[in-house]
Amino acid sequence: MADENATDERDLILIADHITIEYEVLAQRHGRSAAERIVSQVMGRKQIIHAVKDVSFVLRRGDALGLIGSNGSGKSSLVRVLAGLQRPTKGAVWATSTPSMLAMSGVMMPDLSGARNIRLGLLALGLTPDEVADLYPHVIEITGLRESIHLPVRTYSSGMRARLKFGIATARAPEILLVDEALGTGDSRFRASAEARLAEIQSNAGAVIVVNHNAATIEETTKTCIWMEKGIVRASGRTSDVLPMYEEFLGTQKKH
Amino acid sequence: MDALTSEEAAALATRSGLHRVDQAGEFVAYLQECWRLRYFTWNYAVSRTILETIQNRLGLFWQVLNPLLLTAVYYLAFGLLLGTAKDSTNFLVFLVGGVFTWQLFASALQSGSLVLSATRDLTESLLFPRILLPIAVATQETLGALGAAVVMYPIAMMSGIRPSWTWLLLPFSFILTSMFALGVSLFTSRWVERVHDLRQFVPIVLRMLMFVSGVFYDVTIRFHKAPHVIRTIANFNPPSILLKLTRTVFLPDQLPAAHELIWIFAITFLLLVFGFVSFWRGERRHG
Repeated sequence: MADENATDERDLILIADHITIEYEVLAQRHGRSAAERIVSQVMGRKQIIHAVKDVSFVLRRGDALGLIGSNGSGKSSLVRVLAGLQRPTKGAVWATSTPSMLAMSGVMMPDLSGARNIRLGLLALGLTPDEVADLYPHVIEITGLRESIHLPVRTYSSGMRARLKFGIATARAPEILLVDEALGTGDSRFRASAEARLAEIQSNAGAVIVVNHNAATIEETTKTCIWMEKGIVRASGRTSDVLPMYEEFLGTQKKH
Repeated sequence: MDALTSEEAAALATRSGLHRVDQAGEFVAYLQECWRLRYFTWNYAVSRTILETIQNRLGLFWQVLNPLLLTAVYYLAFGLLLGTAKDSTNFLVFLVGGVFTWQLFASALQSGSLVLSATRDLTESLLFPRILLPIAVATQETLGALGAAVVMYPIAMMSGIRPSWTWLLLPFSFILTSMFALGVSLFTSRWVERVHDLRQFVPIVLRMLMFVSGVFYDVTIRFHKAPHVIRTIANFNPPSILLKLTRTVFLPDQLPAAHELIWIFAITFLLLVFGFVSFWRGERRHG
């Protein structure tokens, strides 16, 4: 965590070093006439959007870090960079191994069955076909999808999707697990087993980062937390200290 | 932590045994990662084939039906109406060899060029060297074409060609064709991803190439009277040599000249090597 003991070198597992993420988008200007709109579409200058501005923190073995903020705060962009799925504009991510990410968005191949997606996902983690065959029953067990495992993922409910991805991401307990909004869906039984799995990773000298806009989820799963708004860290420290500030902020937002 | 500069953070990370995870690895590490994930690449190629199969009632039969129907259309339009049938002693086999190879080339280049922008679902949820996507596409296309090509043997026999040991060389010609298409798409897939508008040009360029590559006529005969420059370009046009190579399997008189063979091997090899390096550099810089 971004705290007083940052230079304590023991048990470091991840360092996020001055991460800035910018997106270039074509500015959509609203011309009065069709001709003006066409000209601005072709000639339109690129507009730069700052999703994350200069965020730094460290993570140690056994940590559970929360990342909270309202929609559009940049927290999802940040975890995508931590997972290596996106390049930061500036900054660096150092870690013992590439963190495994569990996101709500995007299933690998939605038109294929859950079973095929599990195999594909496990092979992408670098497992051999033999290892996949060994691990497969265990993953099915975690997902609890039973017969639905042979249906196309497109037909799954959001809770079922979350279970499928959770099974793949945690099949071979990763050292660092990033959970992006994925705990909000799914029934209480899934949440209980997911939280147990997070605790297991922590006790095995790993670390987890839980991203959510919901204070309750962060409170249940993490001890320290970072609160971001508009790409900037507003507060960080003990979850019990940070969450009240976030909730107060949400309250003032509603009044406006 | 905010007190740390990037240099201090890097030093601290190195002392603690951490490494950068926000960028693709060094070239050798990248190659190793590609090799480590070979089963994933294969599985993804198979998954794409399954996807195509379940989306159509006739499934994999389209792999055969599509080129056969095209052959029928070209036979009528070009062979009979425009009279290119006299370019070969066995125009049906000449045409089948051309169409099947061309379809493999065009399909591999088209899917390969668009693959990075067409697989967001996959790339947003899994981390792997992105170059495995065009490689998987080339694998998938080769497998499909090889399966479909089985139908070429009965067609050749029915049109009076006697089986020969050269018939076994068909996979070789197809693999070279998709290797060449892969080499080109290692560049084009990056361009299309960066400037989305470029995808509009892919089918147009392919159409133009199809007309000049001698799918339904013999390049040597039709360009015979053309100016020297044009004749040379037509003869060194890689797809045209690849079509000849497939036809050679059934029609020995189609054998490309030695310098054409050396050229097609060299250009394929160079495209693959430079394509791989440039793809890796692009991934390291832009993701």
